[in-house]
Amino acid sequence: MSEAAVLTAGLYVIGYLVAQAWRQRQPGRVVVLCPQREGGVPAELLERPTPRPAVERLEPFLPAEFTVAYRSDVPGISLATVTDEASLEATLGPWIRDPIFVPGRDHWRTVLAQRDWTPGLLFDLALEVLHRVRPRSLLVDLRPPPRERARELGISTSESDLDLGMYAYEIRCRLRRYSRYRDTSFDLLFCDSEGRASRLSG
Amino acid sequence: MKAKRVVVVVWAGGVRAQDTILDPRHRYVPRLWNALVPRGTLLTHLYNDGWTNHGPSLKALATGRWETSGYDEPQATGGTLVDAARECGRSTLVVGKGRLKLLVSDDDPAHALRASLSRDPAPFAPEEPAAAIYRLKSYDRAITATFLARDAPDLSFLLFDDTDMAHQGRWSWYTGAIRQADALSYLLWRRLGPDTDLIVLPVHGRADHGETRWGFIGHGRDDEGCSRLWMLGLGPDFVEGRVLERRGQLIDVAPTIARLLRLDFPCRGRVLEEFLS
Repeated sequence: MSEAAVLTAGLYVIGYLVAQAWRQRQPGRVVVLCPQREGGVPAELLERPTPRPAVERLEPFLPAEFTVAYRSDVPGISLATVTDEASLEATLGPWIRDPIFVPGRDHWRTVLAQRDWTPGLLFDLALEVLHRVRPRSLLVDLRPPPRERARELGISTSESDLDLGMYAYEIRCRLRRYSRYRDTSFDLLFCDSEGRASRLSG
Repeated sequence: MKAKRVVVVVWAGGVRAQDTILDPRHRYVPRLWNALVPRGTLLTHLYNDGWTNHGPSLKALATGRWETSGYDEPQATGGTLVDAARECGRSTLVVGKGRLKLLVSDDDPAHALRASLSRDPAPFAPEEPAAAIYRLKSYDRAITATFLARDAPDLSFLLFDDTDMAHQGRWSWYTGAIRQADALSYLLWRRLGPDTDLIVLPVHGRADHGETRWGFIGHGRDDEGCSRLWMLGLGPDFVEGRVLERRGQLIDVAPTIARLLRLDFPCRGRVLEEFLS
């Protein structure tokens, strides 16, 4: 009888500690950066996540466990560094084997041959990362570089701010499907050329 | 039934109810909501309870049965409504970018016309604002222009497809295609004679945001976005300004149209009596 009581008390204490640890853990954060080239946040997006005060500095939003971008030096995927088969394998190899959201290897070879990097590929990769890795914090940078540089790197610049923002909105909606991201903060930042950003959250 | 002809405009490329009639502002379907719904009968709870991809959805519309054969199966497995109409001596026309055999077994070009992608603004005049809604090459403009260039037969199906551009992931292209389908449906209504019934409906939707992997970019599952449809009927056989919130199924559409044409068309669907005046 006393052994059973001790066991029950032990299980209760362990359960209590696990519950406390779960409550006190750092909530997750997902940030998506989009360009603001069209004079403001697209009206259709203002109706979706909640508008917040403008952001003067991006730096607080940039640190992340995993980053998906055209060009980036931090841990994650730097899509436009793919220039040949070897770098394709090194950069995307794990993600394009048995893919769920991203296209198969043949498609990537075509994209590589045509040097046609699009935000749709970043979007697919972000969903793949969320699904497979579940990083506590994720940064998705959908901003293309300036036009000349984008041309050199084969990065598409023809998508409107609205189109890019809707990719971000799909990511935000996708988060609801994972219990790990239930209490995650989501920020969509439309960044102008001066380094300021309009912020939508929720 | 009062009409001599029935024209069915099928928004076959996939469009969500929440982006059309369920949008409180109806921003992409202003003509449909403000000009056409008050003049016709709107069924707001039509559902595609089958496979929400192009082939199976068109088959369900054409045959009044849930079709389970493969996505690329080129021909409906049973007789279609158009086949039944032809067997009864009624004139028919199907216009679309393809998949015509899903609607009519004999796809002779005399009554089954393929439209090509085109930059041509017709049927809009080049200077008309509607001509600039969808700046890409379009099937839907060509399909409408092709139909309008002919004498309307007893039963016509126009298979719009441009909203399927959503697979490219560009929201602005998708919503532009909806706005153009809205303008084309309105233009058709203005051109059709008073003895014609016009029925407008999508056959499948697109996934809700965050669902079915890519949200609005994809379709094919059974979430509300993919399966929720609606149907608008205009013309002498429909009551003006009636909104019906009763549930119907996509397989009910074929027998309902058969009733309008006084055709005997046995199938799994039921005639939507409440939709007809």
